[in-house]
Amino acid sequence: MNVSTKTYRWLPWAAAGVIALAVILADTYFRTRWLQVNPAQNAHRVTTMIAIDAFQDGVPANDPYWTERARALAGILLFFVIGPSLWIFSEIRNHTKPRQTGDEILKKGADWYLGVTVICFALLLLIPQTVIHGVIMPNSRESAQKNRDKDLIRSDLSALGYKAAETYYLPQELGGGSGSFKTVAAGPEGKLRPVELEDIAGVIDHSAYTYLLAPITSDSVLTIYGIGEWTGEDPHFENANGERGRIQLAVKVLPETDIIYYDRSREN
Amino acid sequence: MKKSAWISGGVLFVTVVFFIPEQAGSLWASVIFGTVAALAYLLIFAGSWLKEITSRGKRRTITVTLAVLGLTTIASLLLWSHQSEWQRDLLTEIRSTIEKGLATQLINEPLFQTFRDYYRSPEVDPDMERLFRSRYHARIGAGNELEFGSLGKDHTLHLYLETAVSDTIMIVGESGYLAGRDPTFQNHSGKSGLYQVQGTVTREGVRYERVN
Repeated sequence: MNVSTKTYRWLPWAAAGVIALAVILADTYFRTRWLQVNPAQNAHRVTTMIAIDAFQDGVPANDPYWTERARALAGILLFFVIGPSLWIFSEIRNHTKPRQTGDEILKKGADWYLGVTVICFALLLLIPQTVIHGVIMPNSRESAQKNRDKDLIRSDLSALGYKAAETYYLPQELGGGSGSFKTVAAGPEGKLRPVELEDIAGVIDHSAYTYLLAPITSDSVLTIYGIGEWTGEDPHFENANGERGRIQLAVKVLPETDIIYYDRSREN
Repeated sequence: MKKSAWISGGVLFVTVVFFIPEQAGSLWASVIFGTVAALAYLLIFAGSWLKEITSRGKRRTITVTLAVLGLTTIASLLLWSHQSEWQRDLLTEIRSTIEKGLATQLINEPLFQTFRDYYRSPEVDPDMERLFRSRYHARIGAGNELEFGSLGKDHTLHLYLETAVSDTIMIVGESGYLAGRDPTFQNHSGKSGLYQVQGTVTREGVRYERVN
């Protein structure tokens, strides 16, 4: 009676892949960080640490970061020298043996398993990180750009606020409001009218953004809006200039008391 | 023996190349050098030994797997190095924005307060220096440096009361972190080439400008 034994040639690969996955999961679960050997990730970590030092102290650190260097070198040696070499040499050796079937399919030799496990580990580590990074990075950049725009608008609004408060106090004979936003002496004839953006716009540093004043209903309170190009948190937000959804910041100028404060209720 | 020599030789070659760049600060040069050396070793190694495997299927499997590994590594290096550079530039920009914003705020506020006190004063022509000192005398330290708690310890921004007379107050701000436009510009502290701004208040208003 002939008994045919099925040969699953993918079995040794599956075994090596499971070992590699188990090692990655164990390292993640126990947080040992021994296997953080992705060379690019280690280089990025060092750049981040240097940038943070420069941010805090004004001077970038010039340390050797030996731990990260050792991890990066270990990763390069494992993924491109040791792993592939062991795998290829063991394949050459196994290739000279008679064709394996049944249970013998798993008998590839320790060097084969070591080499292939290292290769599987490298692919399981690099591919997901690279894909996720490719997806996350554009979102991070957009978020950072929005925050950057908000910072620049905030800076301009602060300057506009102080200039408006100055105009409030400046005597009418010097082109100001003599204690009012409603009666600013403008132009060569000194005609009295409410303060306008052109009276204070000389302090704007970033003309890419839109600034406008809210309708003036009070002598001593002025609201100034700054509107950016990017979409804010609420895409349906009604901006002060009639548009919808754009980043908007608002500052209230109260020269008699707080001078300026940011009106969060009109912010997007 | 020959196989051990190949592996040992590969390890030694890649390690030596990895340590060619300066071993301080950024790791990127070493990682790029090391990866290029390792990929070169892999190409030479595969070119020399793959032909020993007569099965075309096996050779194809090995070639494809190593190609995927190589391409993924190159993509990973490009993405991470791009992000590193962007993140470093972003942190630098944030730091600059904070420094400039602090300078603007800390110079404008006391000057505006003095301006407001001037026009609120019942006197006909109040003395600006007296008004400024009455409000900020506690903040004027050695060398006329103005001390603000919001600057924190080890701050890089320094503010100085440059002029204080009856009709003019001038505050100068100098940053130890930001570079100025002109590297030869003589800063208030005696150093040169640093970012410097000044704010001046007169009865006509507050003027704020960057001088370097």
